Amino acid sequence: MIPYLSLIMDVLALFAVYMIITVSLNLEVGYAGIPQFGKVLVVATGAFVAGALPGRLMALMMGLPVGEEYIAQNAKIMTIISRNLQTNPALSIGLLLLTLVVAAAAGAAMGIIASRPAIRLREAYLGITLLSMGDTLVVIGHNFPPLIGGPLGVAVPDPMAWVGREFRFPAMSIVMLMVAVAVLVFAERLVRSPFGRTSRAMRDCELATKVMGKDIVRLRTSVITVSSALGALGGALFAFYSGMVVAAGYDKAGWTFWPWAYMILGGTANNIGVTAGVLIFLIVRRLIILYKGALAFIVPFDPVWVEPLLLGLSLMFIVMFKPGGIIPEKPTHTLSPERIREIMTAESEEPAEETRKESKRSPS
Amino acid sequence: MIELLLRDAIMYSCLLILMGLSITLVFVATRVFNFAVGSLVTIGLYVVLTGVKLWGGNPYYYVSLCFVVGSIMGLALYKLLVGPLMRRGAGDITLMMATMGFDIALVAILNIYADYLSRVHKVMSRLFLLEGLDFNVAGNPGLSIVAPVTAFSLVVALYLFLTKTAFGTAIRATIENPFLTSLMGINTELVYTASFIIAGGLATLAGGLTSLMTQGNPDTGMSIIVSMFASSILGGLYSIYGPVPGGLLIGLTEILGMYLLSIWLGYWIIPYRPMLPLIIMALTLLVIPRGLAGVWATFSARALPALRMRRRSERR
Repeated sequence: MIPYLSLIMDVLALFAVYMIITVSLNLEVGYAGIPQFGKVLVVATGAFVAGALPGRLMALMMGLPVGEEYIAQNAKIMTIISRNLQTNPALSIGLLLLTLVVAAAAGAAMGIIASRPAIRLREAYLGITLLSMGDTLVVIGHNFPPLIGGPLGVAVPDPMAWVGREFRFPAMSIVMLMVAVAVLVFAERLVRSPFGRTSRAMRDCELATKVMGKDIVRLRTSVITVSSALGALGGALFAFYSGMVVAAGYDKAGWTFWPWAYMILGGTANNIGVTAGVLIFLIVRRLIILYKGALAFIVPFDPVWVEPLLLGLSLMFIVMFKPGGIIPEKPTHTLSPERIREIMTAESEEPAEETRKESKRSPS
Repeated sequence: MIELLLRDAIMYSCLLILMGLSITLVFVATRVFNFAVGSLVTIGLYVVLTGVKLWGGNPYYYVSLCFVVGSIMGLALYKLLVGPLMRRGAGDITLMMATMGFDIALVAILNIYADYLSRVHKVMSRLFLLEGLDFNVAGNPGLSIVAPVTAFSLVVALYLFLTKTAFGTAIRATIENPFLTSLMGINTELVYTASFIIAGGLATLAGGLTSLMTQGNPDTGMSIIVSMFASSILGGLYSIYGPVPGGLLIGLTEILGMYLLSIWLGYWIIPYRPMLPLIIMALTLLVIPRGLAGVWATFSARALPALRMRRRSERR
């Protein structure tokens, strides 16, 4: 195998996860103006579903214990399960898909619950509420072992075991990347749809949107629902990739504020920009981890603090000096000028043929 | 047992009042929700730790120093970050995120500083306890007297400052209507700066006092930030004095309520303590979004005049 392949695949997998999460965050913050400071909640929801559900389903199918013993004997049970999954690609893929669907549904529900108390109120209230709600699930996951094994965590069955040990990680990375691209395409189509235009209108002027007869609370709830489902998808995929879920791994910095940094670096309300932001920051973060040893000589402190310091400073500096990000938001033309002219001429019921031909001839 | 808990609850409530005041003061004056209050509190803990361990002496000497350090941090936060963004017309979300960035950077710097303290000065700078340095009053920690006295006198001082001085009046006018106030020749920029300076001082002072009560760590402020938010919101985010009843109620329910719940349901409930202020906060937002201050305003606007009328008619 190529020596750097595993590293590249690892970066690609993380890129896919963070792309899903950041694009979904961008739907809320960038396009709808919802101060989502609690993204970690839905990501953790997705991951916890992946930790709690597929393993137990398999255990149930194979007649293994699913209660307390499932957590206590987790390693042993998981070996038996993965031996079964290795020989059964159809079952593996079915399990993966089922978990993703359930994770998305659970994430959507969680997003609605978390935003409910303050959904009618000003942005500040909604932001505080979402931020405060963010950690609740992690507190529960950490202190309630039956869910995902408490502080020790729980193993997640490997849905890609059937491709062989050597290709397991690359295969998983490719699957995740495919999901990420699908999410990106979906988000891009969504923001160009009437729904996306309405949410942008809400972001730009809530009052005007209300006057036009749009229900702000419903609109906000729909955006949060869609985005939370996508965020949970990211969390579940990450859990499948790493093969393990530990509650303490889902902290605010990693799953709320880093995605924020990716988003505002790339360009809020620009999906392509956001993707670029994820890639840039992810590479920088990987480099910091890779060269931790070398950094120890350059910086006069423990290099583990470089990452949070970079996060805090970049959040401040980007909003100060490059508020639009590297690829700022562009006005989206939902229809091309020619198409609009076509519709107009068709509607005015004139001898339309000639005008249409003319408009095609002069592409202005 | 219950007296001890009540004492702890009151100490904790008084600190929450100060932290909540810091949040609401900035919010009513500038409409910026300051997330950095968490790390401003933590700075207080480290100011006291540094003073006590490096220069020695009574921890309370350094608590007053906390106010100065916090004010400087508040000034820096406004002048370097929030002020320029506000002048540019940045939205609420951007401003919140900017203060969050400030907070994250400060926590990282505090961690670096903690490393420095432990490596260079051989000071235990993580999970440290300074409770033992507090003086004793009839078997009670000095903080059980100092915290209520400090909170009470600071609230009174803030009240006098806002109502009796010209600058205080200017601040209240700016809170009411910044545009009209600036037309009257009042420097609103100065008012915003002052609110951040006072708020920074209050938060860090509260942090300094917190060091005598709980274990200090670079994430101490972050770990109680939900309680601070809940105090402000329960009191009413638009009311400067809202955190006084808010902080009191949150502190009492968090400590006494947790005690009662642990007796009732068992000790497994204790790690879920952060849920309690969160639930109160959610309920407040659902039922009385303007907080206790809003309830009081409605009550005094409707019920009090009615009561007075009835009393008057009874007298006749």
